[in-house]
Amino acid sequence: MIIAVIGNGAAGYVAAETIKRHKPEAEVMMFARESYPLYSPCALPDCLGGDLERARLFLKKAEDYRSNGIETIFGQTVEKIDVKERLVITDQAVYHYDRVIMATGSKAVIPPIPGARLPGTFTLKSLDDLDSMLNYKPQRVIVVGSGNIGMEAAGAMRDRGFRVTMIEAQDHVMPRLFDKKPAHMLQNMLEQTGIRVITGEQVQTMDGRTRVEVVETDRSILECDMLIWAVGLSPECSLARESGIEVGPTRGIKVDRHMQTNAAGVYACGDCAEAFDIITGHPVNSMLWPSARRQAQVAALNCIGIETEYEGAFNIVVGEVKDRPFAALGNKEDIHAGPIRIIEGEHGDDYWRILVADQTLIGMQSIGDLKLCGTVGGLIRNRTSLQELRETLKDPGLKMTSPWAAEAAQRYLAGF
Amino acid sequence: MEGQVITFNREKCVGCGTCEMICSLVNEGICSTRLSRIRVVRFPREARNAPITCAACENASCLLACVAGALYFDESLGMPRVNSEQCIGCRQCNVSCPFGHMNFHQEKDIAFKCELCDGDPQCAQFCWTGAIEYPEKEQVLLKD
Amino acid sequence: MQGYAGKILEINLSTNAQTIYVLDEDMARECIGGIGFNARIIYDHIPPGTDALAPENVLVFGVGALVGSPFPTASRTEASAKSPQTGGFGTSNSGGFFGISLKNAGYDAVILKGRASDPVYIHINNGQVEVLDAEGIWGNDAWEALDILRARHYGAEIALIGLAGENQVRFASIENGYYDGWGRTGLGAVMGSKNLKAVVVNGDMGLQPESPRALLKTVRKAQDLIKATTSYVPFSSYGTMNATIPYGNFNAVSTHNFSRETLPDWKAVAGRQIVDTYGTRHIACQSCIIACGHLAEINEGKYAGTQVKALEITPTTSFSGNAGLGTEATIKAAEICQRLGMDMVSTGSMIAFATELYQKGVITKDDIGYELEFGNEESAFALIEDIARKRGFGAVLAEGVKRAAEIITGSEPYAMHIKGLEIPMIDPRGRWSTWTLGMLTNVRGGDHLRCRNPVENLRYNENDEALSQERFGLKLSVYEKLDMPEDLKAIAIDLDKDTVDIARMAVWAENLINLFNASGVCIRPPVLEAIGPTILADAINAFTGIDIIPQGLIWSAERTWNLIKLFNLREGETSVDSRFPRRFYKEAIAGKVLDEELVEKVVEDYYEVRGWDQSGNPYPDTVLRLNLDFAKR
Repeated sequence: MIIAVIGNGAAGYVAAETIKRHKPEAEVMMFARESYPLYSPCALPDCLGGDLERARLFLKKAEDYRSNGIETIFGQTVEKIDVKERLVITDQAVYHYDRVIMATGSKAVIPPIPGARLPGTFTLKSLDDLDSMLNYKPQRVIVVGSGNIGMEAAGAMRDRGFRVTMIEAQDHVMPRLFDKKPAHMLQNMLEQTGIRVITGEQVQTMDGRTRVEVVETDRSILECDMLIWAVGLSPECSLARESGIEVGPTRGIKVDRHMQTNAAGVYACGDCAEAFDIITGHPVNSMLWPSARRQAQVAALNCIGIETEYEGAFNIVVGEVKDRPFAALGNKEDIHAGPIRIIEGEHGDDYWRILVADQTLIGMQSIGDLKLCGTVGGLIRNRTSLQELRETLKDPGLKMTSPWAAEAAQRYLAGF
Repeated sequence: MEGQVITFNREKCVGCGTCEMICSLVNEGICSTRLSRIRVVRFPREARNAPITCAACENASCLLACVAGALYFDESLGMPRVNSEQCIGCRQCNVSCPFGHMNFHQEKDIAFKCELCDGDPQCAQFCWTGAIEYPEKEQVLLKD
Repeated sequence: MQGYAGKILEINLSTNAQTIYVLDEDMARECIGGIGFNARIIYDHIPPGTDALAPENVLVFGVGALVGSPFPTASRTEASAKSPQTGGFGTSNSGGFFGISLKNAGYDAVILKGRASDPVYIHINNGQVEVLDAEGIWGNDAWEALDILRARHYGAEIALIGLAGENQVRFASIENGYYDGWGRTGLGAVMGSKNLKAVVVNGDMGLQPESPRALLKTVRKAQDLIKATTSYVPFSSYGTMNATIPYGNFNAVSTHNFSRETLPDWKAVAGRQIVDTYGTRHIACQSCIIACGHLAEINEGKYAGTQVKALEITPTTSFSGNAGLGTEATIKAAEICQRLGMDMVSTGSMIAFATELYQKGVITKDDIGYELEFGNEESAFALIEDIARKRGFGAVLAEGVKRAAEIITGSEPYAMHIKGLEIPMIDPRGRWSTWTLGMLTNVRGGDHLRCRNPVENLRYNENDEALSQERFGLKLSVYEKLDMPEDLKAIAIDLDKDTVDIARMAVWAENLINLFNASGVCIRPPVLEAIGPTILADAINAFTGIDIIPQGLIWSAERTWNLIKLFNLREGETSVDSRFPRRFYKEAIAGKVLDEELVEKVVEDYYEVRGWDQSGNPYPDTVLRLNLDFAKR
């Protein structure tokens, strides 16, 4: 069996590795445009901030592919998949496959506004992005967007001693992950590190002679010599479109619970795929590393005939501002149409909130102490209800079989 | 160590915390519940106690979450381990573990977890109640 | 210096001022920790003649030196203040997890001064200290308050008072979590007088040992030594209840206010087998390897649903013996006292005292509002509530037995106390020993916990005619293993005659227990027998690096004992205070009375061994030898 894996990111590598582990005799061809071995895009900001050597970004060495029996076809661009004839057509050659796994990833969004691509504007998605940023010497940096990449990029530039302004179009930072109240706490933390935060303003134009010099929002005119776009990622699905593979409403490649696309023998996983949310069941692009890796396992296993269903994507985002960590798990307030109950608490500098919908835990946001966030995350993934937790606290047998649940209930839900 | 497995009989645990003190002493040279790889959850009103450590999950969420290639599955120990040289301290694994086990070392800025003291877990050595043991897998299966 | 937190925190509740004292190596070597810190702090910080319930009194929590290490049983914290009962050094020792938390929060001791204008509690969170409003907590019993505070401050260990402390009942305790407490000498009343409901501690910063490797080896060795004692298995199974039957057989259980011999059904009511009936799970303190505590659960009858740590000899003798209650009522009484925050020994004594007064017609139903009878649990529980709330006659009893006897005409012969502290558990007429002499010489008054022969036998109950010796009665190997200086051992224990010199052993035992209370180690018999200054020095050196020798530890313990005695003398204690109630010399139980002259002679011997004159004043050379010049009289 010949399996083509398109993409050498987290999803692509795990897919290839999983196939070789479970079915060593399968032939795996991995296609990638870049020639680097697998590296961690999540660690790029650490490298940007100077906390991490560039060499440590690499998770694999070139020889790891060989020793794992993965054939690498790097430096070629896949132009089309002929799903009928089962061919991968690159800019240089044509390859036959029995199954194909698309792990084409995503690209950073750059909004279509004047000056958006002026010299001095950057995204932080790939190693090449990082290298060009490291070669650039700015004074004043504007980061547009305050998701996890925006937060980390801003922190990294601040750590390097530059003046940093962050612009968020929504009314609070990390709008996809955090509710207003904890987001305001995060904003305060950012501001305490010297980062200026502007919320509720939309970048409209950018201007500069040889490079970006001025950014205009609907309210302000700001000076800068570097701008980082961190307004989001969009699935890389042009190959899918080109090949007649269906793309879903979130603009990711549509897959079923086996991570199979509408074309027989074609699977997709990672940022390019449209999965579903574990809690709501709605289609989502997870864009998260653990989701990509799990989806890749599922795609790979189904590919070789081991039937496996994807559990659904679960948000887990963790970051830190000046050594104070924060985390968001599951869903936030505005994801659900119905009423949401918020159970929140503060202790010293720590803050946490747990979101409950239909008596069931759906999300958690926490700043400071993250010790039991993972446990709550597990409870959310298992759709644990408040009632079950109350019973766990009452029933000695349950308490002893899942003490972590009782511990979390005792910690966060005492009195609920 | 291959073929041995750490077991908990929570009914026997009296909550003395000797395991936590010994663990941090052996592994970190300090006496600190925060730096212990094992933790005892106490329910004092009803005198119940539960030691918790790595559940050695199959397809562990911590492994999936690691963005730095620092976590790997040690076949001979039968559980994930941290390569602390490679860890970037991002805490992804900490918030991914559904047992609250993956720990974070603030001073060293890295994750740490139970690694069974390289096959001779000292918590089991010092546990005097029989709540923590490290028997051969077969013995455990026989008991079940 | 390692192992210690290195800091002592002082909070003045009148001004909210906080002061941090650095713990230097000299103080560490002189005081070691725990009671050693407390004695020095109390002596220095309380102005002479201070009223115990005045803002000038000082309450100290001092954590033992080994607490925070895995040394077996190193969990204990000494709380001290001027006692509202004795007027002297009030002090009490408790385990649990408070000590390890306080040290891990950054402090070896906390000094509490002044009086808050409104009820408050203190929150110590890894070095940060806040004084917080106690609204919504003040007025709650200890368990209710714990539920609220534990939910608000997750992971906290909490020292707090119940209603008895709030109302300044003179024998109110400070509770340590749900089930433990600093019971004796009325420290809860001192805390209440400061308008302080609770000290809430979140601490997990860790403690760095001087030598992790040496500490680990010492811990293993200490565990092996403790496990090798003959009392280890019985104690880890039945805890202190092991001793109820021998003491019952000796007619040495305090019974009906010491008016009679042990009850005929004692074994059924209080024998250790009740642990099998009611005990469900063992309870341990930090780093303990015995877990002597038991959770008692009652599943049927009028107390169904009761769940409490009980089944220990002291509350059992107090309620089942002294107050004559049945087994289940004794378990229930433990719960009531833990919730109200009252010392269980003194509470049992007050019930016994009032009941005997009632029997003898000294007081009547008109005084109390209901009838009293030994063994009647309803009236006993009503009395406890009345005391805690200072209602009616309860307000008189809330003063403790010494003061109550001054108020109630004709009651003095029935007031069973030494130095103002109600006498616990052991009737010295039934058993005369190092232990019972220790009740007389105890610097905190009538109490059994500061002096116990580490190699006490529970099989024989024999003395010489002069009452100066008790039978040794144990194997040669026990003698050989006992960690005691060989020259002293040879004098204190005569193997040929198979006797122990009570006065000499009492001095050694007091010093040894003082050392335990400074180190934070528990005095349960397997530990007291197995652990001595040699291994404690090894452990303290491995943990703290203060480089002390075993003799240095004993010197420090002796010094602390003398300093406390000097404090008591400064505050007006006289030799008359160190006497048993007259009843022990006049009324026989099971045909036995104590001979007053002989007892006085043993006390004089004890003074001589201590280096004190016949009034109990340390001689100048004793003061000099112990480097206590600052406290000389």
